[in-house]
Amino acid sequence: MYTITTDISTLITEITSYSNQHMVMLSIAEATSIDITELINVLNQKGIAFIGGIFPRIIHQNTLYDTGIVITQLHHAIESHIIKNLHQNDFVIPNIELKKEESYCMLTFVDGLTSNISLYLSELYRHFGNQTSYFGGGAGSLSLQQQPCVFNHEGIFMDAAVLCVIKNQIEIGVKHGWQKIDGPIVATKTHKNIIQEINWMNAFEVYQELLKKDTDKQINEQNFFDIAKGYPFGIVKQNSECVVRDPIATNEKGELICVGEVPENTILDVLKGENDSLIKSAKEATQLALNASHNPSHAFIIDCISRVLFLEDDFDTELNAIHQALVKTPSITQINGALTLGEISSYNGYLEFFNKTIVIGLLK
Amino acid sequence: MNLNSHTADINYLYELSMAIGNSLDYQGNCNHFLQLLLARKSLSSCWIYRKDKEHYTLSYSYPNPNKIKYSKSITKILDQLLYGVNAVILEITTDIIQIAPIPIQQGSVLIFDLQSQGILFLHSTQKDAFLPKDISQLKPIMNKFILSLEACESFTRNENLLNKLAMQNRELNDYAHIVSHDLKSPLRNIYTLLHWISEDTSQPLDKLTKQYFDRIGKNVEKMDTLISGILEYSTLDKRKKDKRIIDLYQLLNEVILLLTIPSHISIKIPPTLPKIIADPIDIKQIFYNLLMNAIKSIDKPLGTIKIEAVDTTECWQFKIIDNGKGIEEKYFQKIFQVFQKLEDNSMSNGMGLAMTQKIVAHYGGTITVASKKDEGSIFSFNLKK
Repeated sequence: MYTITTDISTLITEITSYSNQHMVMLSIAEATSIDITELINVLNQKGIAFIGGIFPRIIHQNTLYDTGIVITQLHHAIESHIIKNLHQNDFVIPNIELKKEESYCMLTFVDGLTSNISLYLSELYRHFGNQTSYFGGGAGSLSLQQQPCVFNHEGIFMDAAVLCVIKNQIEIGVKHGWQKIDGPIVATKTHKNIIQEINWMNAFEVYQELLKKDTDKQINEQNFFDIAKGYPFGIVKQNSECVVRDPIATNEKGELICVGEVPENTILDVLKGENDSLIKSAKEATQLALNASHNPSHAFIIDCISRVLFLEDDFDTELNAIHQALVKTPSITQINGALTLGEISSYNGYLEFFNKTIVIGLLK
Repeated sequence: MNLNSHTADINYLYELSMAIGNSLDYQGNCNHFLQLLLARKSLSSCWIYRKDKEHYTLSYSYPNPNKIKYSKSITKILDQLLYGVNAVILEITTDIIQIAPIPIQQGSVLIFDLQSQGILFLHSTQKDAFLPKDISQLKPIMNKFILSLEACESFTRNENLLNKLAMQNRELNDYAHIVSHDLKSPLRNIYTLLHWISEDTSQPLDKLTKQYFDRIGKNVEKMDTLISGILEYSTLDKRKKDKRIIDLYQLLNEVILLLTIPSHISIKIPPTLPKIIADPIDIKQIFYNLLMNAIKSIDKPLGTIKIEAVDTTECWQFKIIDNGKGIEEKYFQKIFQVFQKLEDNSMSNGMGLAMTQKIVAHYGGTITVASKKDEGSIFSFNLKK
């Protein structure tokens, strides 16, 4: 359900009646004026189990909201954890016992502006492997100012991830629709999410030269975000769609700062977006998830905020395309989601962090 | 021929190749390479079994393994998997499920023989994830991976050995220090008690008893000198070195002032001696010990001791030449061992040459002796520049 209520007691009444004893996921749009600490305290007092995150915008049915809260029932949710200090390397993945004969899904929302997201996902996978599916995204503010943005009963945190274990199978569809226009190139020197050199040369200078082939606009430090949002990188994979890395800024050293890590010597393509191919990919992602599922009841839409910035008014078309495909399945009673800073899924088995991608999750 | 596809293959292999050997830690090296391989090929898990004599053990697994009950049947399956081939692609069978350290149900595995490093399994949930081309492509990559694992193994072995040596060294030094300190205390007590008995006895001690008391006293002194030697020897390399430029001519004159030189003995110092970089205390000790031994060895009415210095390309070579009583060849090695003395002298602890050798070794040098009985000795040592 979607609510614009910010009064805590009214909100608690709504959550209580909607949750129906289930754990709930609270997706809060970043422009919502609400005291989250107070909300957490009262939810704890009332004994309501919950997880949540703050996102640039939120989705309910076929509508995108700048303010308000989307509440999602999490049927069969077992437990939730906060994994703190992701920016340091000594964070601890909790011990959770998964039974061999059961199907599980781990829903995880991570501070999208923290470092080490790849390490977090790699450690998560190290602990639980393919005994569970994974689904989620990056929380945080579109202003790119880091702030506490993920929460559960322990409180609200930054440089952290919230993890919810659900004893239920999730079917996932992942697509992005960005097309290769140049490459391959090699990220010959990198540090976490910063590309320092491409093809053994200054990263920004190489990027400028590559873009010149496709656009008359001269990219510089000031207009970087506006132009680069249409020309992300693709990490090349064998026999499947590449993983997109979004360069969001450059610095005085000519380094490219991306959302998500780019390991040294990664082979990259330069990608370009066309509205039609992006919208088509959203439909395909939805269809992939629908084809794999049987009588799903909940649909999660995790869509990258940068797709909205690129598609602008056409984003409604993308959202409508997803919604139309989902409502054809009568068993689906909840369609909720969020615009995120990076997307998480274990589509095809391996757990990855994506940018500029749409991830559809269908829970029974 | 599809040029784009070939370029993509080459780039893929380049990326994998560059991920190998980024760490000398076994697990870190495996993480770097194998996690990248899993990500690029969308695989779900991998693991390595190593054979130690007759038994297999799991040396790596991503994700983390479940508890494995090693049995004869696991050994039999693993022994037969790669019979006569370097790599094989298999669908998931009950045998594979049995040896997999993590729960797997479906898909396929690509198995590589890592030779001395065991057997690598790559698992995909898809049945058709691997093609024979993958084996050909990955073979040279796997050869590089094997070399890197061998390097990790060798590095770990050396590191363990060094740690063990450092620990033993520490224990030995601690032991020498504790023993020498603890032994000195009862010795002092014995010495004091001897004095008390001598002073407090009502009647004067008879001659024989006095002789025994003197012998006990001398042995106590001897023991004290030996213990001091142990302490000095064990702490010789603990002192912080103060390396600086040393004018050897000046230093040798200072050493000579410290020695008691009988009038019939002359020491010749060449006027042109080099300037070397070393700790002055160390160099003084070397020359003091060698000159002192030379003086003690002189049994002629006219004793001469000569110092020589030769500049070789890599080091300075020094000689102390005396015309003393000389040393028999059978003692040439023995005299550099701790507590070894050619004469019974209670005031000598038999540590001088052992300490000299230890100091010379610290400077990357060696010390030797050449001698003829009744003609004299030449002690030669070198110090690296």
